[in-house]
Amino acid sequence: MAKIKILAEPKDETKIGWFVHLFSWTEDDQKVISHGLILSDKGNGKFELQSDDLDAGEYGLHLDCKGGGREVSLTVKSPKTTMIYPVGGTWPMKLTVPGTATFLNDIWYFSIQGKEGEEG
Amino acid sequence: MRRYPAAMATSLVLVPSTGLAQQPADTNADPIVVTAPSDRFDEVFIGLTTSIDVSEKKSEANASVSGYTASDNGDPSRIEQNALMWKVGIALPIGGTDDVIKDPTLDRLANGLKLSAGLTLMSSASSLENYSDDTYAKLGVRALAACDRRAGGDAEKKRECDEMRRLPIVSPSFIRKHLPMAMIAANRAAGIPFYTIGVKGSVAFKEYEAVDPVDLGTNEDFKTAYSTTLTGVFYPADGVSAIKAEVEYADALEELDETIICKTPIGDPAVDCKSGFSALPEREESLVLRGEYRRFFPVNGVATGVGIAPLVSFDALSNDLGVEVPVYAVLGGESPIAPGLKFGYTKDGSEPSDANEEFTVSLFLKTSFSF
Repeated sequence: MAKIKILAEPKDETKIGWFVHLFSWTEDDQKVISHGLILSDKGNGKFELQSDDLDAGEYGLHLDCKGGGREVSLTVKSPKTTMIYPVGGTWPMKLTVPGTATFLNDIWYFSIQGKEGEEG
Repeated sequence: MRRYPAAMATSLVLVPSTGLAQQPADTNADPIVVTAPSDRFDEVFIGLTTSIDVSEKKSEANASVSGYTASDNGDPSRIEQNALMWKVGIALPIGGTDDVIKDPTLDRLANGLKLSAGLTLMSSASSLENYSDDTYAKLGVRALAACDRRAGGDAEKKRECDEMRRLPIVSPSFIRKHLPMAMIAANRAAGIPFYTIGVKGSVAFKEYEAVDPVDLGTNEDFKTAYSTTLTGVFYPADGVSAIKAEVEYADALEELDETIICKTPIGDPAVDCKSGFSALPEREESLVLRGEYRRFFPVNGVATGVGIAPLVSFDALSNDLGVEVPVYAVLGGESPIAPGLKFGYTKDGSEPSDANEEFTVSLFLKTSFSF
């Protein structure tokens, strides 16, 4: 069991217009299970999102940015993760809404081994 | 009543890039037509912000202080956020204004010291539940098939397809990558509309001068002008469009055209004549209703395509009408040009006939389309 800690770094240093969901799924019918995240302001335009204790396994991280030009980076700081999608990807994962769009969203998948540790 | 050319006019204007603050190039001949999109929708910067805006119409220095409060609520699968942003700003003219080209933003307060304050509410939400939509699931299946086709015999590429296939939700970036033309359909299926509502008040101060034809002396008067604007912007779930409605009330000053004023009788024109305003400006109220639709038509993803931003403005007090239809070519990448065309039409509501209509066509070379 481990708490998943995610560092969010919005370019405009505000919590306006971006949303993060953490989820897992059931093995049999792939029913999505949402996990609550508690957001705390770490200062200097950085925010931390922390889950409850979760089992080792695979998780999805959804980022939804609203508004042209908005840019947010996410890094799973702990526990150590292995990226599933994108294949070979590394944290941080970033979304930048181009000026020609009003929002942009994405989902990244990773697995955790359940042992607390800092992402290198 | 605003001034219009005496007769119907059609013009073609070539507009270069305007530099410094990347202000959009714009040369409408009438103030009822607003400028290009990139400065129409408010951006949110928190803290102290300063900028210098230089355009063919005006040069001014801006400073503003802004902040926000935001509250999130909802269950983990659907989060809703209401953010209230405030902004107090000052604008100082740092250069002359162009009397030939009228301010296309219908901003009567543009030429003097201006103070403004505004509040904007942004209401938005995000949900995982929408990804269970059948349409989205079908797009995911098509994207997976496209991934397989692209991978061919490449084991590494095939691995990406296989990994995504076993996951519960096909990632939006995976669909954008392998099925770029389905981006809008995926947005509609999984996205959630959001909106902003804003109110803004401004007051401007300026000293006006008029030349007395008796002795060519100067009469000066310090005047203030006011405006209040209520704006709503709705962003549909397609992710590439926006609908804006706005009401602006202004109690401002209408400057006359600069002219040559001479004493009578004229002896030496160099001594007995002077350029300037023949009278101090008069107050004029306006109640302008604006409706605008912005849409980007992507060609391949959101990097290239065509953007449009038609706008209709109507002054309910004077019946003045303005229509503007800018069309932007977005070439993407490091293209040195961002060309576009803007078609404009204005009509003076005080004239029953079409005598005071004006059509304009502007060609610009580097003005970016944005929301």
